[in-house]
Amino acid sequence: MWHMYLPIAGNSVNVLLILAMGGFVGLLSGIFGVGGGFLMTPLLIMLGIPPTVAAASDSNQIVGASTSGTLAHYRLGNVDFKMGFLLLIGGVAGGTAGVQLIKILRHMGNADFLIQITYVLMLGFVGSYMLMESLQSLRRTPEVAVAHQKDSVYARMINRLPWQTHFEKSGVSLSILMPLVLGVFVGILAAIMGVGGGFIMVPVMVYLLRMPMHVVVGTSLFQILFTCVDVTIMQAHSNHTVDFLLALLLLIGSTSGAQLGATISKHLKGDQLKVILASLVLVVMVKMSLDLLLKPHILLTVIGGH
Amino acid sequence: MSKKMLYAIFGLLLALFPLASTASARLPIHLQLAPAEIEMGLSYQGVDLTISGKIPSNSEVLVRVTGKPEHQKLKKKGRALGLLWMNMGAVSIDNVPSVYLLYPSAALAEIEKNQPEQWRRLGMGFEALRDRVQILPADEDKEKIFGEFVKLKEDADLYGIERGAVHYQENGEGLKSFSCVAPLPSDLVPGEYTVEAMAVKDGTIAARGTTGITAAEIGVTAALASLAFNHGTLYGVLAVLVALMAGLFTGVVFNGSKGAH
Repeated sequence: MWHMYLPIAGNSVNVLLILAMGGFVGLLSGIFGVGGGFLMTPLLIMLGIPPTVAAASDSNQIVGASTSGTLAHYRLGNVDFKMGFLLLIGGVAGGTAGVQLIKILRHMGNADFLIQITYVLMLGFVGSYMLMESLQSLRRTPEVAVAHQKDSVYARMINRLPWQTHFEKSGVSLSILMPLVLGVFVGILAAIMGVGGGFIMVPVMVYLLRMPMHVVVGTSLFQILFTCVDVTIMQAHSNHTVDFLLALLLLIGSTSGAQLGATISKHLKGDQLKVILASLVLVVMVKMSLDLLLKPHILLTVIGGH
Repeated sequence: MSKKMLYAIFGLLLALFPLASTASARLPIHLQLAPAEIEMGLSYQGVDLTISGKIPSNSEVLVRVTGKPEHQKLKKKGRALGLLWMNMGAVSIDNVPSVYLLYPSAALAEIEKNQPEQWRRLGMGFEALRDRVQILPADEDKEKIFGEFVKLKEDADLYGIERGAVHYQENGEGLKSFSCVAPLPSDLVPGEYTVEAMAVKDGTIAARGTTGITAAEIGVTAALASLAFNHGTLYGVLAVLVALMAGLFTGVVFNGSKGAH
């Protein structure tokens, strides 16, 4: 009774389960400013959705969730549009370069090895660093934290870069090269890994752009919105892998979840948010590592999904 | 008419009698399918296809549902650096059916289990299928690759040998009715499928019946699939617009319920 056939995914799914999954991932999206693709795509694959359709349809639903989340964070004063646009320009350039890079790597062979290793290493590095830093920060007094930041070599280095500008919403002064270059870097990594890159973008904004955590969440969602609009249209045009019915079910749950997430986010401290996100990233990293280390049940996979 | 001639005609009729009975045994089996077509609408979640017909009483039935032969490209999982399981190279299997579901009667299932030589002569089952497909690169271990491929298909319920699914009912007139239910999964690809029933007697196929069934998307699912595959860009833009509207709508609703910030 509660099943629906999805024509592009070519499979039938339990509607209530998909709504609940959308709600849960939307909640995380609203709290942490990540698209949640690194969680949603594996969950959909477990339900029998072909991997390419799972990733593309998830991009489609993230458009809805991030619109809802951006709007909620905008009302809370958490979106730095200036920073978001600069990161977006860099991200689009990096994403395009990354797609070309993957084509070359696939031609040379061993692309899959590089993709999986990059994914696990990035998740491990980002998760561990964020967890350790935020745990230390929770124990540290505010005065010590400020002194620590002022003394860093990195801070002195970025202050010497040209084209310094003030980002009012984030309360930081930086060279416009910083968000542009870091956007390119995240764009390349996201294209290689085939993900939106939210879980890399958030730590980049926090640690390298020195933005306050709450503004990071809102700005990240704003940037993810544009990335996912682009990915959805490209996937629908080139690969016909967007299942609109699946995306619709997911976003009914995720748009509401994102609103609730933004409200929860308001009541949590920045460091608390970082500890939870870092733990989540590390759980996914451990799961992916186990997939690599344990012998699979079947030693073949279908190329191109369905 | 002379007595001699009458004896000759009688003798000829006697000689033709066994031939006539063989011919009746070789008559094609008429198959009935329920449902006659597979409609993949919004509520489709797989279908139990009932296959029925009549075979000579002294034979056993073997029912087979197959999809069209296809060229299947696959990635092989292997150990990189002696430690990590990941995709290592590709293989392809040619002339392999997309679906292969076999339903032997209980007696034939016994033959499959205890008399492999006789079973092999029938040309049914995964081993017989393996002999017909081509695996590339040619130096791959055909037995191992095909074994993994069957596991992959069995996991998706697209390949299987179901023993004991056939039921009989004596019909008189030297015939018996059979019926069997073939559960077709929800991830069945739309297209044409072949349903066959074979009457097996003394280790050989004595009669055969073949019919086809079409699985097709209907209504909303057909319209969406057509839009997605024939007008991809428009479909993508519409999908994005709906998602944007849903996001904005939820934002406004939530704001309305909480008041402005």
